[in-house]
Amino acid sequence: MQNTKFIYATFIRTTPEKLWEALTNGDFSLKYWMGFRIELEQKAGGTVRILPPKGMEGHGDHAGKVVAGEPYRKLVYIWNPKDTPKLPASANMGRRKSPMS
Amino acid sequence: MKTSKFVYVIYIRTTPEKLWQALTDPKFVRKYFFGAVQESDWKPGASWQLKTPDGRVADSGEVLEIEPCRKLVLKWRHELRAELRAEGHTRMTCEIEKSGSSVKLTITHEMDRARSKFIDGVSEGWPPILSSLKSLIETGESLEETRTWPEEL
Repeated sequence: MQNTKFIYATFIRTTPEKLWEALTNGDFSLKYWMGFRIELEQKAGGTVRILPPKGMEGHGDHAGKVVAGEPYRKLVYIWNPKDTPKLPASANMGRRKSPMS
Repeated sequence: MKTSKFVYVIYIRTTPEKLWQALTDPKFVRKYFFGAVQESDWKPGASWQLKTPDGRVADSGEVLEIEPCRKLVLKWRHELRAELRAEGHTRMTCEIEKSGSSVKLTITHEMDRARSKFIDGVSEGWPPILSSLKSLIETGESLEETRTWPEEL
């Protein structure tokens, strides 16, 4: 199968609980995500929205769906950017915490 | 041509000068590089070594290119494990670019050989090392797990 993929690993001095909060809480996401606020229902099939900051409305109201969630461990969501050409298949953006052993 | 390659990009709130010092000064390096001691005169053609805290040569090579605060290219071979040593030399390129109030650091570690086990190894090693470097520069403390040499090596 042909696909395009990006993987990035980073280690952060924190706890899984705090990192989970930083990844799923909109008040936190806007501080590091160029002002974008994430709204996410933490359950499989739940909706995901990535809302743009003031002045950028219409440029990035991305919507998606939670595929799998395992609090403090793994989060996978499908992400369909609204203002980009229709993707051949849903772009799958997973965030996975990799504990330092 | 067959190659193996690992690329990692990280943004650090610092200056190119401070980052350069953190990458080349052995006193700084050992804090985030599992306690390893780096030795080189940092001139083109100079030898380069990375030693374990107990003095064994873990990796060795030479400085291929050096442009302070901008770019460093090293010829790099692993020395401790025979099967990795047998793969021969790799090339590690480190590039520094100013990006707003931060600095973009790009590490490219590559080899002219398909499916290199050593490149697989450094793919696991660079993320904790560079995350720890970022923590050290931004907070004054490296990540605890990167301060001592792994027992199995």
